[in-house]
Amino acid sequence: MTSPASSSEVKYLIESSEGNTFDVSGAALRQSNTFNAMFLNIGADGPIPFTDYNEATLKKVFEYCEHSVNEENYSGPKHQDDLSKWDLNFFNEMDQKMFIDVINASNFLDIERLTSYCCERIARMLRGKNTQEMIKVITLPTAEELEAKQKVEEKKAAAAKKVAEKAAETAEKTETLEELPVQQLVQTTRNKLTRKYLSFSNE
Amino acid sequence: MSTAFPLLRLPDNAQRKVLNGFDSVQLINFSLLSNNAKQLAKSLNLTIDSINLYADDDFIEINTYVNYEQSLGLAFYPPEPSTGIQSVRGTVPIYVPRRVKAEKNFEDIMEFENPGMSISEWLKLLKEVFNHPPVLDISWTEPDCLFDMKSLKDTVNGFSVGEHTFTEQCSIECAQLALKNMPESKTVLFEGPAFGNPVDYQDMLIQNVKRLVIGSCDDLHSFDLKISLDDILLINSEWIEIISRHVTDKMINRFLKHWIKGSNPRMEHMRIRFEPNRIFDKDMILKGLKYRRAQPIRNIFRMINLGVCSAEGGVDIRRKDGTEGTITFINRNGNSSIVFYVSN
Repeated sequence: MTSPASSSEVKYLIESSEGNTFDVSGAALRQSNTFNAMFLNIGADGPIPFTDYNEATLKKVFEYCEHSVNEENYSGPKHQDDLSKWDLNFFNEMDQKMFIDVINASNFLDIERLTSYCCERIARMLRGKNTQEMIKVITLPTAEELEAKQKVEEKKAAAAKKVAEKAAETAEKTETLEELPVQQLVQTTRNKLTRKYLSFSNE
Repeated sequence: MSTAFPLLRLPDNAQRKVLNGFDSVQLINFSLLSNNAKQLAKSLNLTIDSINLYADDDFIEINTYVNYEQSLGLAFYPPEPSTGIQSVRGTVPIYVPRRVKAEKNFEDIMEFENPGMSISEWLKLLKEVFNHPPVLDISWTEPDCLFDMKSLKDTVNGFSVGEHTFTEQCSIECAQLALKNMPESKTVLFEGPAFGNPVDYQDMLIQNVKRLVIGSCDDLHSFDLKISLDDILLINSEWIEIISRHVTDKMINRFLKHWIKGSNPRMEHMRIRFEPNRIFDKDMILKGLKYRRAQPIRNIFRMINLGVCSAEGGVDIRRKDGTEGTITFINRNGNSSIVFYVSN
């Protein structure tokens, strides 16, 4: 679905790693700084590909975003004791694998509130533990795993670049007069008239 | 989450966010997990303003402030409890601690088995994780100062000693031993009651340290400094601070006359702090001196350099070689002091 994001009623299609698509509201998506940087002002032609993450993870992430649409603007991590019952249920019902996937996706989508709450939860898990106790709670990566992690980071950077390129391509396609918002339409028309005037003047 | 958590496999940004939720004790414990963990802790760019080492007889302690807001203390306990045999001053080597007690904001947080690190390695860890320059201050609090100075010097190897503070029960002999072995420190503070009579330790007044502080701001009465004019004239530090209620207006007058003739040639700044609400007899202090009222702008500029908000009624005097000095009388919030600033 293509849409400028001026209205909270607008729905966007999200594509997961399985190739499945599902709807997310514009208001929920706007909590993602990655989305804001890439699609907010230009709209998207077709589903937005977040294909490094599976459907269950993305749905979980956007479930959180949909829930926190009406919350005040994010102003730093909230103490875990101040989390609402809904928030606590949200975190408690995830197993470790899902929790890690959610952190990864939330971090990529740059959803500050969710990432911070997840990270604060981990910090809390390690509170009051000395190094020996931490070793029991934290898995340390091997050298091979560190190398693999670096490769994944590189792959993700390449994927992000691909998404950005697709966004730019989409922006080019959508630059038709009827799809542009009024302000942009006026500006585009003005630019075209200016170019026309200049070409006349040059003649 | 019952299985071990792969924290160091999370994206770097998320790892840093987790660590931002740590207190300083947690961060230090975390940094001991692996080199990667240490680098991650370091990447938070937290800073400490100073590292203070307390060489007590029973244990050694390190204290610091992280980002100016949270104190972190680590106390290192020796491998074996004391045998009851009195050790000889300056002979006990610095041990590899058996247990470590961690404090945050002066509250005990945890006590744990030392993971085989020497105190020197702990210091280096703090320096590395908190991006601290290799400077530390040492506070001496015990009368006997049992530790072997060479061993202590090895422990702080890689650091330069910024300050020696001789406080609480520290004795003159202990201070002498410390300064003899580590004379390179820039600042020396004599704060303990054993240092009430500078005539007993004049050898340490003439060590030409950059900054010398004698007296305790906290308690003028438990440390009742009786410093004489002769003692003050011996001091050849750039920055001198004296806290005493026994420095009379007449003594100050005589000191200034000596300064005009050329005494204390290296001195750039002197501050004498008195008992609260001291009333100065300016006529006595300036008796027989050629002086003029200090230029207000220059005076304020000098005071700003000294970290004083405002100063009024300062006077300029001139030494024989033409060097100028400004004397300022300060009575603010019950604190009374005289500041003497020498122009370069």
